[in-house]
Amino acid sequence: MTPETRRSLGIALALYAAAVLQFNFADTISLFGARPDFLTATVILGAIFGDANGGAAVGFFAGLLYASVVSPPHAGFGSLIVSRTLIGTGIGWLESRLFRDNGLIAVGLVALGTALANALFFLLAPQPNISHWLRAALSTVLYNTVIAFPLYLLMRRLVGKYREEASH
Amino acid sequence: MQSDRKPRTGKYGAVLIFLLLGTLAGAWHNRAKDRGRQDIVAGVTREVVAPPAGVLAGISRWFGAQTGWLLRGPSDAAENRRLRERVAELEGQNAALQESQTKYVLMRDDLGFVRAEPKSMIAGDVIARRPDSSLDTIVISRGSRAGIHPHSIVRTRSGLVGQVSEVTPDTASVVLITNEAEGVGAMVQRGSSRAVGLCKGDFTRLIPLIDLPGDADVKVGDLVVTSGLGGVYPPGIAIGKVASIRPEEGSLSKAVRVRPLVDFDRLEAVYVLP
Repeated sequence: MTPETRRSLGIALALYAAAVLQFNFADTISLFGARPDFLTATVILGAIFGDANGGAAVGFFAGLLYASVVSPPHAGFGSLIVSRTLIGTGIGWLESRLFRDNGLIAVGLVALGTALANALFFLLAPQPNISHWLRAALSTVLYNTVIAFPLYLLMRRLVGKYREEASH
Repeated sequence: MQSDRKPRTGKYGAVLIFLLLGTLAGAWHNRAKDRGRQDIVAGVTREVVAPPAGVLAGISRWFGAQTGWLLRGPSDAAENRRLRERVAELEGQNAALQESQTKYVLMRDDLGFVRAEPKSMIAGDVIARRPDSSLDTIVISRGSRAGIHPHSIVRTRSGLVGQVSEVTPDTASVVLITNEAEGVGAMVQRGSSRAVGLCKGDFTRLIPLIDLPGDADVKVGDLVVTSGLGGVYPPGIAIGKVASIRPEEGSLSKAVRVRPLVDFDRLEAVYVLP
């Protein structure tokens, strides 16, 4: 099995685990109403170890999983997928030009990426209650920022080494 | 001179394909939903995640039941005492109500009313509780295979939970009554009041009871039940109790808020009226 394939499998496994965590524990571990968004965090961290096309693929599947799990009652299913795909693309594109894998940068990217994913979702599918959406989005950004570093370490362990092997 | 750079469309071909697929998946989903059909793509995706999520939810419930007393010991003992007293009180009330119900049914039969047989309910476990901060939805472990369909009503023993929005063969997504998308025809269940309004969620823990007449007789502590108006929710399902009443500025009406009887933070099992 090539390092590229192993890296793809690692990211797929991470996405699946993130979806199950989102399904089961997002509400249980909520703090003051804030819930994490494991899938968006995984898209961003997965894209760090890839490129624009890889980021788009991770974002697409994460968006599909997220939309299927949360099942928005209004329109928003496609907007969730497209917003995550764009975020994955953007982070992958930036990574191949500007960034190297670094814990602090990863935390910053998760915060920024989660905020942008929510903003893009809102632009594509405007929500009726703006203040509620804004509170929820900001609290998710904060939560994701807190969990970003441990998730980054896990992701680095899971797929980082294959990336180094593939680049040699 | 030949360039070794890939053309832009080729370089970002996968990006364009995934964006197109995302847009198509959204359009397909909305179309299926509008027609009251299951979205196969979303259904298959959720069915892939649901089994381990269901197992984890079961383990988590078992673990909570086994170890929860460690944290809640003294408060559980006090609550048990209070609940035993309450059960004794309610048993007395229940006997009186059953007697009244029997008389009521006999009188309706005498008057020639058609008797509506109660529908059987489908029990389901909650396998995902509000997975997103901005959407008050849950996912349960029963779906179309069990006879559940979009708009089926979901409740617990204590009261109304919400309405099914989407189904897959083995799961169903439920919009809670606290969600802004939900409006439930409601009525104050007090003999001298019977004021009718609409419980319209706003994502907060206290649901606003709106559209009440200006002179509506409502008191804090009144039980609010479904009115059956609108034809979506059957009448008589408990929603909650009136928690606060404030005069509305610039209007003769009152701002009434209802505290749901269902504790949405601890929802583990529900019943579905197919």
